[in-house]
Amino acid sequence: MIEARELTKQFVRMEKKGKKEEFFAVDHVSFTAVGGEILGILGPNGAGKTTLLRMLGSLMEPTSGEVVILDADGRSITDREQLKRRIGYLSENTRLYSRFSVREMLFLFAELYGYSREEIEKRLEEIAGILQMEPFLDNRIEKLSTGQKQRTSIARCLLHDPDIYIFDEPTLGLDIISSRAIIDFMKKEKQRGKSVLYSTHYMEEAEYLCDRLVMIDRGRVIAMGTADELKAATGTGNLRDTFFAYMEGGMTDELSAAPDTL
Amino acid sequence: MNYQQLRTLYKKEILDVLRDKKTIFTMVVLPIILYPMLFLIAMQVIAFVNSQKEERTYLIAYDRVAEERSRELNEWMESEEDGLSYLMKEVVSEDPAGDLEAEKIDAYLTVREEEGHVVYEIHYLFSVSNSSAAADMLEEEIQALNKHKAERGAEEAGLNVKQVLYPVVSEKLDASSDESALGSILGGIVPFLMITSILMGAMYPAIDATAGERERGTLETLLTLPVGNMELIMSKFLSVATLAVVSVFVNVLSMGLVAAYMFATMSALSESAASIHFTTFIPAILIAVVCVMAFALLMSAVVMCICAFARSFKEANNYVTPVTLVVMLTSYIGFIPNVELDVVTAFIPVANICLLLKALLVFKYDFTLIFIVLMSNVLYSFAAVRLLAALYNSESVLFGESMSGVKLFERRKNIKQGGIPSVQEGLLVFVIAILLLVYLGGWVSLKHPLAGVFVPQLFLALLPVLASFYIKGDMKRIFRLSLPKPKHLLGAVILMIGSGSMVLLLANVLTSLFPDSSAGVNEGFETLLDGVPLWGAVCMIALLPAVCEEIMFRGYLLTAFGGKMGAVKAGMLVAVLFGISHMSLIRFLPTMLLGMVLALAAAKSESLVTSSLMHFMNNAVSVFILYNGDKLEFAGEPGLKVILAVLLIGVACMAAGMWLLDVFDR
Repeated sequence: MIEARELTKQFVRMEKKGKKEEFFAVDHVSFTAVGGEILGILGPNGAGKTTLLRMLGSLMEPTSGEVVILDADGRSITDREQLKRRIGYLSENTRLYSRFSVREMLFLFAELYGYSREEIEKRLEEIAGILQMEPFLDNRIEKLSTGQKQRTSIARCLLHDPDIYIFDEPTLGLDIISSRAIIDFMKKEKQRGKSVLYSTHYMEEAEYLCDRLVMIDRGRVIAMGTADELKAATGTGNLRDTFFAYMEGGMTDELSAAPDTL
Repeated sequence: MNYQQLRTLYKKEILDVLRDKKTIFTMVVLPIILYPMLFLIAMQVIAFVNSQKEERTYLIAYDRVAEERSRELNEWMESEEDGLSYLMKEVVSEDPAGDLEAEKIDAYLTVREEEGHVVYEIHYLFSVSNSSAAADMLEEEIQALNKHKAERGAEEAGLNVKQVLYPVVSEKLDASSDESALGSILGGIVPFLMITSILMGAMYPAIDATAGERERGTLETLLTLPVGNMELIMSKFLSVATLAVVSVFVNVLSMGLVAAYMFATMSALSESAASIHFTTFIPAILIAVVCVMAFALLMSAVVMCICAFARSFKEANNYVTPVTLVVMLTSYIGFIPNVELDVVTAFIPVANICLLLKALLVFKYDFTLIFIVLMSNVLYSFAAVRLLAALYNSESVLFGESMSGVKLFERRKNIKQGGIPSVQEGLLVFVIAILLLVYLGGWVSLKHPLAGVFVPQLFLALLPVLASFYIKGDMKRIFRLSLPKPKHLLGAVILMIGSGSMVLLLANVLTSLFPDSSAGVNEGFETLLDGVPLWGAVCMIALLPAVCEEIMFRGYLLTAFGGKMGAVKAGMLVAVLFGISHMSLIRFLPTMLLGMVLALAAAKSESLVTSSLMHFMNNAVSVFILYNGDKLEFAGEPGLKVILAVLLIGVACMAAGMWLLDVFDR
């Protein structure tokens, strides 16, 4: 289970003509993803999805609010490193060390999670089996195909067997076969009782995969519920139209002002 | 610190950099090829130049030289008697000056006679190497002729040649060992090469580990790991430092091999080279290695700090270039004669290592200085690593937010009303002010010494006002334009009395430590103020700075820095800059302390009036002493009792002043 409690992130951004302005990239966002749930996060570019997920993944410190993940005793974890141990984080920005072989990189990462050599070897074998990585396990990452790279990234998230996954547009730019590997993976992990936060631009994927959806615009939650609930609330027939109905008006200028690295 | 993680990360960093072929090339292959190549090329060039010199026949013309004289000189040059075997040929020239200019001839001679004394004037072109070589040869030939004629004349007159012509001669005997003679030859070039190679060795891995990692998009991957910031930084830093040290060894090895080869060939030719014992260099080399390693740490940390801001390899390269220039220029210090390692230079980064290596090469082991060099390098590296850790903790650095905060570069109509300057702006304005102080102040002082005192002051006040006006700043807030509470004003006066006496004590201590330095300052002022009435001096030296410097330092800069870094840090930084702006090593410490006190008063009373008043008091006392110093009677050296009393009063006044200024209030 992971909970966002009034998460807020404030940035100073440069406007078009060099004017400086403080703005809320994420503005008091609250939601919970329980175990065995895939929570879809939808929103246009610059809506604050990446910033929100970075805060949830403990990569960024929130300006205010908190991320709640409970430990075995039911207490909220405050230590950033402990939080990271519970999370598998994957985004467009988490690239791989291209100069290493798949095995080398995964080995190093597993070592950083504190596993012993024997444990790592066992775990690697296991993961390589699940993701069908044996043929390229000893190839350098720079020589891999996009799909193989993506599977390596998933393997990286799986290493420490986290109970929360945060996937920020993991299928962006992938072909159907490669993105299916990820979608299948998420479904499998859901069945294992894990929580998955999943942001995407693909409405079909979201509708097919997610138990609930959170719509975000300009850093704020504008709607939350199952796909059917959202469709019913807007009186639209498909999720694409639902999305447009929610985003109406606010989208165009946000697109142009979006600072893409934030 | 989690050492297991640190070890894994270190392994990862080293492996990552070494996997890149470019690194191997710049670190290992390049130095191994470079030095032998440089050596070979140098040898070829020298050999070529020498053969040119020996084989070339130089063309000489005689202009307005009597035939008898030119014949005499020509015969002398061609004869064996001169002991010289230069090839020179006489040519006829209608216009020798023009021919020389066109380089048709190498030199020409004219002659003038003064009371039986013949002067050959050799006309040549200094900038043309063949021409100046010809001139040197002619000079040698003529001197030989002179000697020959003088000796023969003395002999003919029946005199003792040695007694008459050479009653006194000198002989130079070099008492230095062959090893230290060699060391002094190498003293300039070796430190320079060493520092350059460390810089190059550190630079590539540093860029790769910082900007490179970000460019390849793996930084965020790294951040998803449960790894502490300190482990991350230390692993990166240590791996870069390791590679820098390795590259030093590779460089030294390559250099050493070339040197060994050079001496092997030379010792076959000359005796003094053969007598050099290389074992004598071993202790020096050991000390050098330790200090150079500390320096490698410093360079790694500094380059990494700069690269942390860069988002790509290319950007990092651009940022590093100025640093490279500064470091390389500083390492030229080894070539400057008479600059040696001492208590001051031992603290200057880069220069201290350079001078230390130079000293070691001539076997000067001053262990106090060696210790200072080592410690200062370790200390600077520590500070740089701390800075690096802070940078890597900042999300704006990690996630590549724009670092620009300089509104001065924006169009004015886009700037919002009523802000305060940023830290970057503050530093920029300070640097411009210092440059103006040096160049404009220097130039004005040359034209008119008195104007040199107050013109820079006006700029010091004008610059921040203009900068604040441009950014439509909140003038009242930036320059603390409000009246202080009477209580605060009183506190400021008392604080000034206390700190003034303390600073005076400190100045006395410094003067007794470095007796020569402060006299210069006072003498300078005395001659400057000669004929200026007391009130004029008070206006110029006390009133003007009290207003202008306060506008700059306790007004503009304190506000600019205080916005981001908190009042205490801002006050300290302003004090340091205040110390620097007085551009005197001896006055740095007292000025800095004064700066701190002034910042405290200005910040606490929220008014520039208090700090201006204090500044005025401080400077006015100096002026008064300057004018009435001869009338003041000091009862000799102040005894311990007096010093203690001053100390006590000082502390008491400072405490009381601070209390009145509400410093102790929470």
